[in-house]
Order: sequence, then C-alpha cells, then structure tokens
Amino acid sequence: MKRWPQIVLWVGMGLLTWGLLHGGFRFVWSRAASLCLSCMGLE
Amino acid sequence: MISKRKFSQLFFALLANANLFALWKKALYRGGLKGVCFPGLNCYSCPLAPFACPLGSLQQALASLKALKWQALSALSYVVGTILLYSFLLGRVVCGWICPFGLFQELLFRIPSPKRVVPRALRYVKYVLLLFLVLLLPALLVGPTGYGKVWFCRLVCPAGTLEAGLFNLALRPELRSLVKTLFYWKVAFLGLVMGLCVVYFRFFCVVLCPLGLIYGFFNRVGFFKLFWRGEDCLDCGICRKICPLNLKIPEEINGCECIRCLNCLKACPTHVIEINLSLTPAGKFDSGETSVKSGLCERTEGHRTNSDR
Repeated sequence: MKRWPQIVLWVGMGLLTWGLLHGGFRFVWSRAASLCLSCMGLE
Repeated sequence: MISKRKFSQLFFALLANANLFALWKKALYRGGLKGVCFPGLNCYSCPLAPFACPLGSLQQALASLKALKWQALSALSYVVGTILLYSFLLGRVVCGWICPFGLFQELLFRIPSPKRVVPRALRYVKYVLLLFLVLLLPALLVGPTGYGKVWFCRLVCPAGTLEAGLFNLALRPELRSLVKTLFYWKVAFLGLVMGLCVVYFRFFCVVLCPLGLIYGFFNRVGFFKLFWRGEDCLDCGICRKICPLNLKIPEEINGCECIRCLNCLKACPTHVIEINLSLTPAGKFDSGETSVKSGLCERTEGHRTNSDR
C-alpha cells in the first residue's frame, strides 16, 4: 500500500507521455480552440 | 492585508483569463497553450482563457471515443495523465489556491447574509455527477454521427455559463439567435448556485464539482498532505471551529473534502498540524483515526462527541 503514490505518479506520467506522443495534445487543442456551444448552453 | 492564499487565487485567476486581446478581437485564443489543461475549473470557451479545462477536455475525449477511436484514446490518455499528475502533486490545493471559480465563490460568500453549513448528505451529489454526467453519458449516449455530448458542461457547469455563455453573448451579439431553452436553464442554474454560494461556503465545490472530487481522492495519497501530531494536541477545538467547510479535524484532515485552505494550520496554538510533503500515503495516524492508540486520542474523540458540532 505504501507504493500507491509512486504507482499513481508513474501511471500518470506514462499516460501523459503516451497521449502526447499519439496526438492527444492536438485533439485537446482542436476542441479547446473552438467555441463549445454545449458549454455556453447555446446548443 | 491580502493573504498568501488570496494572492495565489488572484494570480491564477488572472493567469487563467490572461487573453485580454479577446476584448477587441472578439475571438477565442487559438495559440499552443490552448492544448494545455489548466488545473482548475475555467471554461475554454471563455474568450479570455488561454488554457483548456481538464473536465471539458475529458468529456470531449470520451464523447469522441466511438467516432475517432485512437485519436480520442490518445486525448483521453493525455487528459487523464494530466489530471493524475495534478492530483498527485497538488490534490485539492488546486481548489483552495488555484481555481478561479473557487475564488469567485469565496467573493460571493463575503456578501452579508445568514451563513449556513451544507448538509453532509449533499456532498455525495458530486459523485453521481462525476460518474454519470462526466464519465458514462458522454461515452455511452452516442448520436447517429458517433459523437456523444459533454453532459456536465451542457447541463450543469456554471463556470461555462458565466465565462463562456454570458461573456460570449455580450461580446458577439450574432450568437444571440442561438439562445433557446437550454440557455435559460443554464442561466437559472447559475443564478441558483450563485445565490447558494452567498449562504453556503463554496456550495459548488462541496456539492457539485466533479473535478474537486477527483483531486480529493488524492488528498490522502498525493504528495501534499497534512500531518496531525496528536501527542501535542491541547484539544481546544479551534481547528474545527475555524474550518470553513465544517470538517471534523483531525479525522478529515486528509479527507476528500479538505480544500487545503490551511486555516486550521494557522490557527492552531501549538502548531500540531503540519504540512507533510512526501511520497508515502497518509497513515491512519495522520488522519486522526487513532482513538485506540493513545489515551489522549481517546480523550479527543470523547470531546468531539460532546462538542457543539
């Protein structure tokens, strides 16, 4: 149980790196840089 | 004089809304930073926002899983990894020191009015919102195009209504033709939440915020923890009286609900509450569940039962 935090840290960094390498950043950018009508309640 | 926490909240609120060019360009920021998730709740459709919202991005990735598969999966991995890192390094320090919507709620709470404590049962509403509106519905309720919807942003998120909806409508009158029932619902809900924030300290954080809940899961196992030295405790109860969230200290010192305002740490006359930055999870002792370990702690438990809380 004491290794929990280290496991979370490594899993987090692993996911982040994998996501970055496979275009996750670009996907988030494309969504965040365009108006989200749902967020505004204008859908 | 402004406290360190208020200074930090102001700084991050300005940072999260630093795109002042939007006021005369009347368009969203589209630079590279927009792909980076800001730790706190700050709608990415706000013209002032230079960063992405982690909760919105998470829902967008889940909503696109069926249609875009690998691309959405990589985005999901990126966003979950980012949230895990923020959770691990900061936990709910984000809520207390960084989140702009938290600052907004605290300013509302300063409006003179009768003040009340949120009933404990209402805290579980955010678990339902996280499970259904953030995680399940966006991925499972998919339309004919293969895309789901960002249900939490769509139906609940008051930050989106305030920062994106109302602000964009004020800046761009051509959007007003799109106003329908959903917008009126969101504005009414925003008004309700703002009204409740005047009476209840951080009503949205305590009852509705799924992002705060995710961070709260890591209060116990993350890098930033609080440590309670029970042997030196005078059992004066000041920490419990000063806690704005009415938490049972020390039992809930590393619990899910603590937003790390550190009021208890500052108010303690014998400084028995300390910041503990470590890679080991909080033990039972740290969270105050020590009534069987020492007589002092048994006394503390007894006092708490008889206390006014």
